[in-house]
Amino acid sequence: MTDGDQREAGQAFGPFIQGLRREGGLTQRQLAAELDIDFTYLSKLENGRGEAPGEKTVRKLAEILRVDAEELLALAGRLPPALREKARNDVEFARFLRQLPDMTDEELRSLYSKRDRSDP
Amino acid sequence: MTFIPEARIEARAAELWRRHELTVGFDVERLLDELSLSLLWEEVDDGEEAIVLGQLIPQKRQVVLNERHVEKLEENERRLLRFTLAHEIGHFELHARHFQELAFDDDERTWCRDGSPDPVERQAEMFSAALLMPRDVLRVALPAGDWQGWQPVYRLADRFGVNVSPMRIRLEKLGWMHLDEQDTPRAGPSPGPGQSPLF
Repeated sequence: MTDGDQREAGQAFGPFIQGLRREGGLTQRQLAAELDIDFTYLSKLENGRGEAPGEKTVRKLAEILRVDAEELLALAGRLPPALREKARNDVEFARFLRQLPDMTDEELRSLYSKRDRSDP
Repeated sequence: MTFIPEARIEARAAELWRRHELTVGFDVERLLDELSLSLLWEEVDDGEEAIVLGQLIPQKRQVVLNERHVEKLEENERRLLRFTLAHEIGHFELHARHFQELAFDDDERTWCRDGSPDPVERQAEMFSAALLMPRDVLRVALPAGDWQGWQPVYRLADRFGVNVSPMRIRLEKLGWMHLDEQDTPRAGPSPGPGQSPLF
């Protein structure tokens, strides 16, 4: 698994934030100013270009656009730092994460049900 | 491309004003959003003889501004940027819809604002002047009486958020201003036969 810092944002990320920005009545320039990022960079993100923003920026974006931060982080292709840290320190965990994309829907559903059963 | 009469270009711009409830000096970037046009800043190669400020990619409903000229576009309260965006909206309103109706299948078709004398570019330039300086709104803002001098022209340019040159051209085109022998602006049309400006 590569570090997400140089990775492009997912293709759904740009249109998603553009739609929410428009619904919220903000211009690209106003939102960029609120996020303290360059308006040219935001224009690239909205059009599916450019590197994914850092977690702090995505969280701030989620707050402004009033959406779930975890959902937005996932769309941006960002793993939560705690997950990255654990993968760095736990080889077995990192191997498990790498196997996840290859799992079938059935295998994933089985994992979800185990998780649900173990939830208090 | 089909000839489009000036009156129709003026009417299309006026229609946008009504539909989007625009006001003098309106935010052109917000209008792009309302038209569901995406704005992208990226580097675009300039032509051999002229720079490219912006372009419209109709298939993507995308307006591209040339990042190479971001400083030029941003200076002077973004007046050049406003004119460039209005020009691309002109292509969208006048040409892209027509282009789609004709069902052309050319993914690479774009229109660029690069000062070209192409009639299509002139039509988009006329549209941007009509959108940023609508005739009826400008008429009300004109100084009363027999005005003269550059100050009223500068004041109007400030108010409408455009550079002085397009304001001068617009006023001349509408017959509301002419330059006398000393190149001083004066109210009204040129008294004699003169050169007709393009836009």
